[in-house]
Amino acid sequence: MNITIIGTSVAGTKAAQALRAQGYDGEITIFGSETGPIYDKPALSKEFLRGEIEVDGNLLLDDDEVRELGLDLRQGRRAVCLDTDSRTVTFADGGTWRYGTLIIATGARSRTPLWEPRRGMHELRTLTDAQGLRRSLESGDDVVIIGAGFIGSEVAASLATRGARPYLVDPLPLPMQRGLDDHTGTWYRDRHEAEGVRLCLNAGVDAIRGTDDDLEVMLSDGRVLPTSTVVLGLGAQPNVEWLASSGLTIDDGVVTDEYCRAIGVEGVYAIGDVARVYSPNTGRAVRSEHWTNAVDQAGFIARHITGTDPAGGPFTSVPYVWSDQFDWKMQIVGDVAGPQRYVVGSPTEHRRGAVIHPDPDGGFGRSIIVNWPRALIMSRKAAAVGTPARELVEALEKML
Amino acid sequence: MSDEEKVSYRIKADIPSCEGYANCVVAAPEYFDLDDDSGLVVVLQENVSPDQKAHVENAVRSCPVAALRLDTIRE
Repeated sequence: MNITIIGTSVAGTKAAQALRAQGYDGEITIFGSETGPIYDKPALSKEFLRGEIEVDGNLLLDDDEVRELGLDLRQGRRAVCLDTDSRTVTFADGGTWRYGTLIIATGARSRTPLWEPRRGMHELRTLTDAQGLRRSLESGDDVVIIGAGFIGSEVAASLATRGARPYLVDPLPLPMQRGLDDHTGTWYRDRHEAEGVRLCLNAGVDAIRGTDDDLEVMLSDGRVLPTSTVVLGLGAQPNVEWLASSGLTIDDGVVTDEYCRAIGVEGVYAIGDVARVYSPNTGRAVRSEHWTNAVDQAGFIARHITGTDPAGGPFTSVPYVWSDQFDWKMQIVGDVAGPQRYVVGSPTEHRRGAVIHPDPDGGFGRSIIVNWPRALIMSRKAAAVGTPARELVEALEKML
Repeated sequence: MSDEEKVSYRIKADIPSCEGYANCVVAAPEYFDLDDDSGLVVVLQENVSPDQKAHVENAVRSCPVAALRLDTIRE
């Protein structure tokens, strides 16, 4: 049985590795739309952007491993159509491929901006994006970053660490507001300010004017920011257009059952940023754009396909996200956060801090942790076994 | 005399590469922990028997900075 993976994303490459680790020794064919090195993404907004590593220090798969694992790797092949009746994928070059089992791992791409593209406007999703932005930074001009989500905030921190004073623009009052609570958001707002980042919060972007490399960002509060370099951190959208005629259920991603199987067809799985996986615990299908989630799903389907999962149950995982900015390592465990919260410590006063949210029943909901390894381990354990939030907080307070 | 090779596996951690994400600790807590002060990985037992190989490989693969390896030891 041929297993075909579409996408050299973290989900796609880890699925191939996991299948071999679980003892599958049949054919594995991986198609990737890009050519060149198969790289990982988290470092692109951080170490790679700062010039501390090059792409060869940031690979998901190299030639040796492709050989050792016996993978049939085909790059520069963008899938454009899926026919699940004949089990055939069609590619942009007109070629077709028949699969036995299909793993969809086509990931997500930057959300399309409202503004007409011009030279000097950069997305940050692919290696090509990151290389282009790195070149653009050499001019030394003030950079305007639109969107203070995780990527935008990481870029701002990376640039400020190099001595620049970038602008960071967002309509919300705090950086990373969609992912944090306002207490941790305030920690990060203050840190960015102290490091020289020029925050333009509560400010939308009305327009981007000018010509190539000579741009003006017009803010809704009337300010005009002239710059040669704009970074767009506007979020991502799943790469599902090639599946339009496939008959798969597409709704903000490929909708799957609790085993990552695409609904209504045989032998098709979806994992990683493109997949919206049903959770029996919450009764909702969730699409998660996080590295660890992609790796967890890749490992899960490898065990499921090979029948080597000792438990045999559905996919479950506690959301886990990290973001490195300046010398603060932020880690977020869980995603259930009501208005109630406990604050333990602070990265400025105690050199480490955590904000813990209980779930509606007082159990573990979410931890946001800064520079505190033991709090991370304890939170991930609490999430796994359902320790009451109050108990976790008391244990952490004793360690402060 | 037997020609059979005894195969076992050994965990190698590249401590300077570790960033303390703790994915390995979640995947295989019997083998990995983080040091409280440094926040870096501590290998609790480095020898891995063949029946635990896939389990530990799962943890090795979950490291976001590829700081872990599982080497094959032939005796």
